[in-house]
Amino acid sequence: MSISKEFADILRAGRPQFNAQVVKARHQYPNFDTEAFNLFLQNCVDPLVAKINSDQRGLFCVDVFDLAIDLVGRGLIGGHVRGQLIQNLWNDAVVEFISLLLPRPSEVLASLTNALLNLEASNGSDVGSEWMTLLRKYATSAPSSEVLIQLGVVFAWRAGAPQYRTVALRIIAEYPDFTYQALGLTNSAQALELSQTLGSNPWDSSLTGVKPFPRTIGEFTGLGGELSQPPKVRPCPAGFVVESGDRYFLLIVDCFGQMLLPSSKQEFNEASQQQYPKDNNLPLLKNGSVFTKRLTLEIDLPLEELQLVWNDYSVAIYSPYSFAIRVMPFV
Amino acid sequence: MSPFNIFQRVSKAPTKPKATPRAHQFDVADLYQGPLESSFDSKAPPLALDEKLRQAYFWIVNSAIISPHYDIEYNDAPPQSFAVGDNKRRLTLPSGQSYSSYVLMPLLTFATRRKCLFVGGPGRGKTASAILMGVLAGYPVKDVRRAMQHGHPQMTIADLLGNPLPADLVNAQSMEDIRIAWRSWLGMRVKIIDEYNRIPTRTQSALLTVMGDNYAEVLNHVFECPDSAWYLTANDDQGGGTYQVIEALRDRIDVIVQALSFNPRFLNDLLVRIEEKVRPEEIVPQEIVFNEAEIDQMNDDILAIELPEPLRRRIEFFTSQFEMSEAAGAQFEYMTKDTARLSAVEWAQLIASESGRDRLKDLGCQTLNGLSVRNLMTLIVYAKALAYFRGNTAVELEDLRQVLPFVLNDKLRPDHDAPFFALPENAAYRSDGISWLRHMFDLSNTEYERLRLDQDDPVGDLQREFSQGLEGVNESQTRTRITKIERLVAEFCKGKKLYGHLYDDLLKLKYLHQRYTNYLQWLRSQG
Repeated sequence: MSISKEFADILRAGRPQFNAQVVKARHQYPNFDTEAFNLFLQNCVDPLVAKINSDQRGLFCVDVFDLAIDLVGRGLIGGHVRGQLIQNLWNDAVVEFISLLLPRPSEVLASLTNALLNLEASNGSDVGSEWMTLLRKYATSAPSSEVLIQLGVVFAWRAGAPQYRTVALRIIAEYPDFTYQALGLTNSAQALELSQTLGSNPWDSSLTGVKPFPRTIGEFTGLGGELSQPPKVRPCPAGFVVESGDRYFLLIVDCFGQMLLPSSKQEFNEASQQQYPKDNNLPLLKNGSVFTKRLTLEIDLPLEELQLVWNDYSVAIYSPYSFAIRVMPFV
Repeated sequence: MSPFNIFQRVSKAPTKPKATPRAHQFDVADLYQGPLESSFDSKAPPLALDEKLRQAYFWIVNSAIISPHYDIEYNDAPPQSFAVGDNKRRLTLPSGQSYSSYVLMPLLTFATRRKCLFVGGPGRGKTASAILMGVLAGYPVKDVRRAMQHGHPQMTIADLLGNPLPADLVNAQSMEDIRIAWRSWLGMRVKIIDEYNRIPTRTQSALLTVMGDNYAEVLNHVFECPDSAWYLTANDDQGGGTYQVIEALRDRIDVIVQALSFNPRFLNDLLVRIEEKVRPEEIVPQEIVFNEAEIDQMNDDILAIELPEPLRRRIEFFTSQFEMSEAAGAQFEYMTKDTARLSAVEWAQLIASESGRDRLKDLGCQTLNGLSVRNLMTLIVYAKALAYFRGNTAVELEDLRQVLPFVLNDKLRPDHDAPFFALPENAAYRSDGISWLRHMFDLSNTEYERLRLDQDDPVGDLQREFSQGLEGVNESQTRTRITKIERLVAEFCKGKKLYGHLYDDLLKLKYLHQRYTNYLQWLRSQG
């Protein structure tokens, strides 16, 4: 496969400078893979260059060339999951809204790539892929790169990263015109309404139509999970605080996703002070199932020592016989 | 910053993350910050100085000095440990953030403005390390190099301190008229003396005045030096220099660090430097350079670090082990190694006349001398500095344990004829002074714990009672206290062997007894 004439012309014109960059990169990164770099230029950079106006193409190349070196040097490009995700981002998604990259392509591209890597690391590659899909479909609605960056947070939340819920709701309220489509709504008024309803109840499905379902979170570290011992869970306003061995986590769950974040013993101890009476909506454990007002969850664990804790919106079910925590909407 | 400024990359704060609860409030930047340089990389607020010091440390170990020796070990959890070789030496993989003494101790010297001696064979980076410290203080590399004093056998006091101006020497009517051209290094906040053991003895005395009293004197003219960190280098600290270093000068040195050997597994790092023509001291990042006010502030902050009382007691207990020499004095107060040293009695003869104590168990038998006040002050300052460096507000036992060998190296001199060193398992301690000192501190702590001194310290109780002051204490109470002291002394003396810590306890009790006795007399005189 060869590169486009446009890209080849620029590389030829700046050949000594580009070569010098690569020589430096090989010193900086002893394992710098020149073959992977060439492939990345061909597969991911070239299609972008070809779409840039001729008067901006030179600057674009110089800017993105540095970024490509950094990506390859850090080993982020290759056959692994992260490499594939980044290549998909550059290949499939960015090409759809390339005009939004200008006039500072490397900054926007670096930010989007960082976001993808963050989502992949914290929420998993499925969330990263979903985020990219939303980006490809709806980023074009952004009028500028600044708004694009804001929309990226909404897409991240919608893709299943509940840690961004609060900031995403704020952005939705600020940019309802550019966000309603990505949320599956029909107009910006609904987006404004959603920013209210989901702000008060993270499971609210009245507008999104996303049916709440019981979630299972947590897995034994020996199997690649986060929990070294069966967890203990306490409710807190943001979700639940989890203790497993000598580690602590904050568990956040909402209608779009779930997330375990690092927490501390202090937060775990503070969480025990919280009281959630909610008298007439108490979850019910009966005949091996947990019933809430909205859902029923059949429990596949020994019922002795099964624990139920709840906050304003969710009930968490855990047991000393399991590493998994089940969370379901409470009201 | 360009991704190619590889040698100028400073570790991202926090360099020593604490398990403090994180605010779970996400914003846009949380999504977009990452490995690639982006506009969302937080513009860091001004760093706390301890964080800046840690960044300086990590920049030095990562980019400047290739010293992959993590000999200052900290553990957050039980570490993995392996027995290696025929002698079953332990290789430990620390579970906490650990440090290289060769970089850390000079850096703590920089922060506390003390005096550090680098020892080690030629070409191990001693001088380069010292120059780096000068650059960290904000001086241009050229100035640091020019100000560095190179010891040589012909070095005169004028070479070291400065010359009288020739014209003034001819025209002056009095000494005051003679102006002195002081050497520029005297005014710097980092002073470097390369190969100090090659300086002639007479010039060493002039150096001693500058090091000890912080001023220089030539022809009755005095130059007051600013507080500064000192770095001295010596290829061989055991007499291999051209001149014997005078003892007072050696005693002024606060810590001694040894340049460990180069690990050829890191040859590639050297190769990159050669190919890139990189000299670390010339590319010190601006972010880790300290100005004068910052160094002053850092020093104040370090001194404000708390030394908890239980730790202070452990230092007292450890120190008590060494000075007492039962055979050296007839009067109780003179039963010290210092008495023996001043009398020039043969050490072996003195030891032979000692009996009763378990010479293997008694730590005092392992040393030829005790600790000076200066040593103790230095130990406390460096322990505080290490606690500060680790981002703590109080010294921990491990901080003390880690700095102690570097402070007491060359200060607490081993008696290699002691029974302790004759044991095969202790043979390595003859040459490895650092490990020996740390081992002694461990033994001292074990004994301290065995005696349950944290829980039961009657001398400490009496001291606390006395510290509350004598205001309002009547004659009867004073008599009660005196009796209490006398009973305790009697109990201590009953059938017990005299060890160092007991000796110091008895002297302390005598002191308290005397203070109460004087007070009692004063009370009586008041009618």
